[in-house]
Amino acid sequence: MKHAVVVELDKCVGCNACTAACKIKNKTPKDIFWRKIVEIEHGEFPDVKKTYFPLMCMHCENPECLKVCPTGATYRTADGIVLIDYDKCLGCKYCIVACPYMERFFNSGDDWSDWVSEGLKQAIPKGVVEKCDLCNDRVQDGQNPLCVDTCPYDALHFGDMDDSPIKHLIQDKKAWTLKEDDSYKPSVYYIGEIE
Amino acid sequence: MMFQDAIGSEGESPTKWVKTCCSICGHNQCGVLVGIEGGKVTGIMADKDDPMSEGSICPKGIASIQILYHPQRIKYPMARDGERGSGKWKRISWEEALSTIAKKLNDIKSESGPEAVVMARGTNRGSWIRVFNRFANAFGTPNWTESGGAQCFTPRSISQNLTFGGIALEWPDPSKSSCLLVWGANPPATWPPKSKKLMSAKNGGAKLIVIDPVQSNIASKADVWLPVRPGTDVALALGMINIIINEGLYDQAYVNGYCTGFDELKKRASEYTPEKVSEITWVPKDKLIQAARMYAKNSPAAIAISATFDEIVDPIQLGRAVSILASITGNVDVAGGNIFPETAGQVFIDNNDFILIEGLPAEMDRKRLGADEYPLLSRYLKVNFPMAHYPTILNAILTGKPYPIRAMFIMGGNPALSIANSQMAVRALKSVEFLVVTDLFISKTAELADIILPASSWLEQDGLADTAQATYGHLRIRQKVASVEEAHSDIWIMIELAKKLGLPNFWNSEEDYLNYILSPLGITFEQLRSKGGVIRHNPDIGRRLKEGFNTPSKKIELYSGRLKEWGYDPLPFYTEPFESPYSTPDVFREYPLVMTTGRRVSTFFHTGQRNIPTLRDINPEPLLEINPKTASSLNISNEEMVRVETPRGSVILKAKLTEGIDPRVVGVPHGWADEANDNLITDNSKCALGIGTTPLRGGLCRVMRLSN
Repeated sequence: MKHAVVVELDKCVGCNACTAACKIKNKTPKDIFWRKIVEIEHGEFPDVKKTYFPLMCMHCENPECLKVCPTGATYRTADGIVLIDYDKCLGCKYCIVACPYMERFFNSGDDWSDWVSEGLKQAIPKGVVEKCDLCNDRVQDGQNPLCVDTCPYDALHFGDMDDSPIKHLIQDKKAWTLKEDDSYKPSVYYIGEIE
Repeated sequence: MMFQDAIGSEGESPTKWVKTCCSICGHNQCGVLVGIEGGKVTGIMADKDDPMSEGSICPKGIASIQILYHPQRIKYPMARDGERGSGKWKRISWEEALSTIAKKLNDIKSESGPEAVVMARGTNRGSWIRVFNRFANAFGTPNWTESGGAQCFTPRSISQNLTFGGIALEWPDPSKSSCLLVWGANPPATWPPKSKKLMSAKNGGAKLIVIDPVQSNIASKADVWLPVRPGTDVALALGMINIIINEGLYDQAYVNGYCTGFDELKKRASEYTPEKVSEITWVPKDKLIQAARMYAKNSPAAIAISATFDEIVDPIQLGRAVSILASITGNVDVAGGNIFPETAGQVFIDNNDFILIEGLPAEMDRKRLGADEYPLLSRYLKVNFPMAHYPTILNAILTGKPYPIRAMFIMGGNPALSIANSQMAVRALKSVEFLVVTDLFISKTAELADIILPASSWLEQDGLADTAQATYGHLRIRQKVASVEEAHSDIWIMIELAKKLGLPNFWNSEEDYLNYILSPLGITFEQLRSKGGVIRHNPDIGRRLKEGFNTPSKKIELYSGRLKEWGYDPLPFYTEPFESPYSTPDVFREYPLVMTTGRRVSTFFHTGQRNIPTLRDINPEPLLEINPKTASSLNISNEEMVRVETPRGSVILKAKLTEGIDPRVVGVPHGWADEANDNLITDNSKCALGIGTTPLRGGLCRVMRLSN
């Protein structure tokens, strides 16, 4: 079993519902986004093409972050989710440097304390590195990651690479990954052109 | 999903999901599921089973949990405890607040007449527009208005009602469309349910044309994007009509069967040649022709519009021209085209009956501020809530003419930021003798109040999602899942204040009010709740083709006899923006960029939500959209702070360099406070003919680096 996410770029309109759902669920502090949508422009006015490009932890099969972690805080589950044990993380930030996708974030302890009430403060302890956990709690419960279930446009798909519709989606629609030529083997696939 | 008891008990687990309807933007009313754990709201998700929104949701709806538990919420009624605007408040009881307001308003009424009291609304937190209008009529004042007002919905409703006796452009029916024309709207940021329907059709193979000066979210998906010069949309529409008629692409049978005035239209449209239109609109001729052919040849085709239709120099003409475009191509009242809203909620009780329009004496109707100069807004066609003209109200407050305005009761509105010419709006708010504001937070307007009343959010209300605009016919209920201190719904506030004022024809409780709306169905709110809370409704497509349109001729009036009778041009015509490179060349020499104000993002509704952590984190700063070539010539780099100046004032924004905008145009965002408030640079001195709109698209500005 190996979990994967497929993003259909043609369907993403950049509404950021996924971003908001992720931030609310994971109570991430200011400026930390476990997932985000970046705008990519090609061409010049008026022949310009804008693409909304969702980014998140790629949950690599060969994660660089895991290799450099000195305490074993970063680990990969049997079903392909890369996680961080916050109790073991020292906040050394090696993984932030190592991640080829820049999808790891240091939690400096700045929170929403001057903005929101007690119950909504950040869930992750300060002084550690945090990132997308693919909603492991939901996935273990048989659900999709929250971003996938939130997307109003069905631009996001989740499933088992070994046995699910997304395996065929990846093959039929010629899905690709970021930094495909390297050895990281990300679990997040994209469908569609960006030019 | 079955309905359940709304509020869970302490310590209960696992999460219980309650079906309800969001109202963070007041008009989409998306069906959502609210997760409750241990008596607290812990999550908000789209309800994929909702017949209207079909799984749509936006960041604002999801983040409403942070509105519910926000420490800055107004928790109880407050009276000012110092000078106006001093920021000093004292807590008072609801009894004291309502008694004080009632006494003051009744005193003013007996001393100066009811017209000396202005009732102004903003955001529709729930579905209470009609209740507030009824409140004003029952009190006896004609001076009811909206921050939207002549800026939103009213012009496009009036123009469509004049043309085909309804508001079909409000309702595209994309599921069966071969072509989608999105005009001056960015539904992914502002209308999620409509956006989802449009994108589903697009992904199913429908063509997509988008008209917007900026390459918006939806424009990025377009087959053809027309970056129109802000404010010149009427010329574009007439140009498309001309091409379609000249090339014989109109639906002759439909025109012969259902329209009047085609020959007059043809003659008028012939003045708008592709060359001339391209020159006016800055849209290349070949793209204009391509778009016209694409729309006309791919039938049925649906048009989606929004507030841009109400914010240009002559919105009546834009609504008319685009209604005509849809009509001559045979796309009105047909499946896959534009259809008419018949909402399970609002069709039960006629709007004019609901608001007790006959209860307002004729002499008061005559005293309505701005009605003489802008009779299309409130006098001629009473299909919307007749309203006073906001800039005329501000002027009356400041000058005492034509008569003094002594009090303002503002519900859910923030005119200090939301209406054109903030400088004037703030002067007026400061000088009016008595100001009451209801809101969730102390807004820039509430700061200036004498009394603030704490309003509740959609999570704290039982109600009905029944506004005609976006329900696609389906009526659904809203369920209270939480409460915040002494905050109450706007409807509760009006009902209780009506009791204190001794107003006739109000209700005893919110439940009475909800049961009144449902009374034609012979069902109570609690019965509807227990039956699942949803009444599905299928729009009656094609009825008007059979029975006739709701116009004097029973046909679609391409030529409007009523407009002629009232002294206006019966055919659409283009007006150059009041301020532009061509109408004011002297100003253009000093201010060489064309500006469109009012750009929206998905995280904020109008002036709200900048204090909601998640939403502010996604869009932390007000961004000026500017082409890299223009920026480079001004020595401005990406994310640099810039000053945007007009003859009225200036704002400070952060530059966002994008190729998705003409080098001659910049896009200014709306709804930010203080130095980023776009209404510091807008103009309300000259308004649209007949309807009174302050133009927000197409003025002039200059941009410079903030630091050297």
